[in-house]
Amino acid sequence: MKTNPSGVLTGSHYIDGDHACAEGALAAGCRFFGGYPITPSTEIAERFAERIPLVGGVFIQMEDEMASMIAIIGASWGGMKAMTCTSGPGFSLMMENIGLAVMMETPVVVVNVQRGGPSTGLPTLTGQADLMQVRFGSHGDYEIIALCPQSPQECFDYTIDCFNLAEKYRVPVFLMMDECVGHMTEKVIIPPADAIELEPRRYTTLPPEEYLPYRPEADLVPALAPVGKGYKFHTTGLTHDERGYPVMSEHCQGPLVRRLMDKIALNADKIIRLEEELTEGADVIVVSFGISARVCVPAIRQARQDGLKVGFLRLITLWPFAEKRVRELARNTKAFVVVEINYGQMVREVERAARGQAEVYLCGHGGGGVHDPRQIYQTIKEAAAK
Amino acid sequence: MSPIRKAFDAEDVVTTTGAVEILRERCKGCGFCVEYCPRDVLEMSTDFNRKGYHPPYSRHPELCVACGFCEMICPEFAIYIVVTSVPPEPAAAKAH
Amino acid sequence: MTDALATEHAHPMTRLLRMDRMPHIWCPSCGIGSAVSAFAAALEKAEKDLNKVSIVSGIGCSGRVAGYLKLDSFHTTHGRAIPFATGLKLARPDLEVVVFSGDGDLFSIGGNHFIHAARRNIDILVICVNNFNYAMTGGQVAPTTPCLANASTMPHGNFEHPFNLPFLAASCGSSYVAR
Repeated sequence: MKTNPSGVLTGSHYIDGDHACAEGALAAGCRFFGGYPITPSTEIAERFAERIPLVGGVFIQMEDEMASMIAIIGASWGGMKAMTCTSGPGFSLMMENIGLAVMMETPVVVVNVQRGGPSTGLPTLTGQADLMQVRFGSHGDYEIIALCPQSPQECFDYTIDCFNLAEKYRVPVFLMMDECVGHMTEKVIIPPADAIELEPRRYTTLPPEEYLPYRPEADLVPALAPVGKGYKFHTTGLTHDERGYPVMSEHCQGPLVRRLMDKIALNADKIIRLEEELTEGADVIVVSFGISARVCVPAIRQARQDGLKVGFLRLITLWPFAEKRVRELARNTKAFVVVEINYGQMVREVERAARGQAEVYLCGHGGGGVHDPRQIYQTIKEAAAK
Repeated sequence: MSPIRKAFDAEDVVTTTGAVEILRERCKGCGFCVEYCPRDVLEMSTDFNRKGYHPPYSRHPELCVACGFCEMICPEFAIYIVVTSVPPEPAAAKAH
Repeated sequence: MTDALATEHAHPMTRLLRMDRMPHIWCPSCGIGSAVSAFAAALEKAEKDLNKVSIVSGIGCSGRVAGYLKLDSFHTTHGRAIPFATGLKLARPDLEVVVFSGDGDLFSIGGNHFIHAARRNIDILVICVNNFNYAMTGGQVAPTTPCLANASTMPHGNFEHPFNLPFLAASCGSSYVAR
């Protein structure tokens, strides 16, 4: 379906990632934002607050991040596309209600503009250390989708993708930006409204007497019912059956959790997006994402000039992890070099997927800045030499 | 001797009458209905329901005035009133 | 047997209750059932369009209310019913949004959300069933437990002072507070 043109600021802009993200949300039809200010994500909230009165919709600054997360869940159930934005400390607070969104199968978008951590850390400087948290931060077994942009243009584009994925899979979808990309000003081209394709919300076509809130369709995702139209459905964070009623039993738990995970895991091929360059037959494959992926470029170029066959795998989708592809590549390559601004997060997934068929090296960084490309180049050389 | 004085026109006043419907299987034997009934219509029985509770029964059904206290106070939605008759005109008018 | 079922469905509250979930889980003589009965009767008397009433609850015994009323109902996380209701109401101002929860849920973990909703004067109805403790988990002290009372986590007597809930609500800017 096409988007509402009122939110689309068509044209060529010179804006930063945060602003581009806010524009992406509006272009995707998002009309509810509930958030709390936190550096370096505050600009997303501010831009949304400024634009909303003209576009129509709701902006509310909630009292804390816990309220923000659940307010967007409430708004989503009310029928609006809803988003919040935060950074590390706020992300930690949101974990509880991220679990609720997963359990209730609520489409929402959460933007984490990552910064140095742990705890208060480095509010104004970059990091990429919330990657395991986005996947495993809330308690219990579940799966989510997370995308990672490397430029303000991608902040715009991928925010729209996040909304589409959220609607399609009825799951919270995360845009894992970082402070560098969020505060980087670059050219962003916003297309005309009719060039933007949106995934429509999955409402049921059944009448209230026949509708079951959690009876899955063929792709394991159930259809939503609109509030206030006589469906009188019940939904809960407790383990529930197809009627949405809580059921305290093992035989209910297993199938429900299995389905919540399978609806993402079994659809992974349709969800995962990667960017590959010269990965086939490479000696060393550099794996990266976000701002680090851009920092890899000069390092890889130098290594190739030295005669090394270096491939590049950019993870656009962080979760579900591109396990299958990494396993395939591991068979024909000597080593992976994972470049991330942390001391070892996505590298664990690469190692796991490689299953010992290739060496895996981490080129890490504590945060507060980006890698020195020479550090990456060094690691590539070491990996190739062994 | 009851401390509550009986009104002079007590015999003449016609009140609404009601019948108490008790959903015995839903009762959890709390006794609120018996306690709250202003006419002492109900009493706890010695019967058991499926869950082992003693539901109430209408001991003096003729005394029920369909006030609805039992229906309102029951936490289990296990008791309700059906109005069986309504006075022909307001009882107060009759007194004069 | 058929007669019993027929009488079951003759109960005046039937259209407001999820009959497939009766009997409810509240203990014998628990007043939560009575509170729900009063709420259901009020909805009837006020002639509310039941399609447009949404109920949001938190966690706890009182939080189970959402599961028994036949309305669009949302059983959310502990203390967060009010911000959920805020989001729902802002997205759908045409709905009547009611938060039905307990004292611990609304005033302890949910205290911050309560005072902000009162301050913002969000158009929602918040019903608090106050049983002066955390009942579902076995009777722990709550911000409403009277001084000197015994609770499982204040076994030597509560030495903290409880909130005065109506005063708290009024001082935070609620436009209507009743008990």
